[in-house]
Amino acid sequence: MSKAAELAALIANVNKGSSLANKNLVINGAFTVHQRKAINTTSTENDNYATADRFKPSASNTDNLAITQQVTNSSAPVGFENSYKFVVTTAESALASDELFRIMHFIEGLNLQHLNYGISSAKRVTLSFWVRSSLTGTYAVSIYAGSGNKIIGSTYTISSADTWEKKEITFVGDTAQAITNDNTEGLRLNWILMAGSDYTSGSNTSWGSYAASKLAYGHTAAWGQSTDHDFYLAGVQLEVGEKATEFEHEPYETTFLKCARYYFKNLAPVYTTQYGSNAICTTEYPVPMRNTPSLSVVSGTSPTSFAAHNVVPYASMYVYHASSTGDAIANYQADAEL
Amino acid sequence: MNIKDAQYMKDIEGKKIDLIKATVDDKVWFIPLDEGNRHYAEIQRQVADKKLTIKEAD
Repeated sequence: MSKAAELAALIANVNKGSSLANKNLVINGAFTVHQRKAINTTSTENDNYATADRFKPSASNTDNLAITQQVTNSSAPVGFENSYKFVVTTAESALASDELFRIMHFIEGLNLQHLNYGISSAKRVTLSFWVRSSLTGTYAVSIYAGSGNKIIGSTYTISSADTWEKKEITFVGDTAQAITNDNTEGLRLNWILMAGSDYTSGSNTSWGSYAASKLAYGHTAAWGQSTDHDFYLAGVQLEVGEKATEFEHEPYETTFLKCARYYFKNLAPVYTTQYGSNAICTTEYPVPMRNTPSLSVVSGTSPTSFAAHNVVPYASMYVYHASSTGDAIANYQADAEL
Repeated sequence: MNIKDAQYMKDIEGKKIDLIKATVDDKVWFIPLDEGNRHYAEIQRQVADKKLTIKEAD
C-alpha cells in the first residue's frame, strides 16, 4: 500500500470512529509478550494458554491430534520479530464431524463500548493479520459475541505454502445486540485451523444467533491431518473502520501491562513474615486484574494455602501458609484470563 | 481443563471458606469462589456434570 493510500485509510477509519493511538482492540497482536514460556520454547498443550499471552488454542473432541505451540522469532513477516507457531506432531487420522481445532482471542466488554453495538450506529471493525501455513486453502475466521450469544464469520485463502501473507477482513457491527459493559467476555476471535462438518454447515455471513454449525462456516482446509502441517500467526490487529491500517507497534511495557490484567507471572522474590502460626506477605499486581485471579506457586516453597483478598479493584494480594517462621515463596502466577 | 483433587480451603482466621485448592492441568492452583474466574467456572461445570467433587475443608 502506498503512503498516500495508508493515510487515506487511516483518515477514513478515524472518520468512522477509530483513533490514532490504542486503535488495536487485540492485546499482544505482535506476540512480544509470552510470560508462560521463553521464546522458541514449545508447549504440547492444545487447549490452554501456554505460550503467547492472551492467545489460546482450543481443541474439541480430537482423538489423535497433537500439536506444539510456541512464540518464535525464527519466522515473522517484515516489520515483526515474533510469530505464534503451531506444528502438528500427531495427525488427526480421520476428521470426525465433531472435531475442531482453533486459536482464540478474548476481548473484555469494558474495552468495546465504543463499537456502539446494539444501536443503529454500530461500527464496522476490520481484522488484519499475517498468516503462514504449509497447507494452502480456505480457512474460516469468526467473531463470537458473548453478551447475546451471537456470531459472524468469514473466510480467507492461503494461496502459497510456507509464505507470509497479509489478510484483511471487515465485519459489520451488530445493531441488534449491545456488548455488556463489564469485565466479562465481549468478543472472541476464532481462527479455525481444523473443523469437522458439524461446524461448517451453517451460513454465517451476518450477525445471528450462535450455533456450533456456524463456527467454521466456509472452512475447507484439511489442516491437522498430516505432520507436515504448521501454522503461523503474526501482526494481529482489530480496529474500528472499514480499512486495515498499519499495525500499531507498542512499547513492550505497554503491551506487557495490558497482558498483566489477565495473567501475571511474578519473577521477583517474595518473602513472607510470621503472623501467628502463619507466614504472610502482601504484594501488588502491576495493574488491577480483570477479576479475582487464581494463584499458583511457580517455584519455591509450596504453601499449604494461598489466598487473595481485595484483589479487585485494589490490586493487592495476600499470601500465607502454615509456618512458625517466615519462608520465601520465590515466584507466583496469577490468572484472571477470560 | 483437567481438574482433580479439589478441596475447599478456609481463610487465614480459619473461619470461612474462601477458596478451592485444586490440581488443574497438573499444577496446583488456589482458586477464588468467583464465577468470573475461569477455573472456578470450570469447576462448577464439572461438579454439575458430576465429573468432579470438592472435598470439605480440613
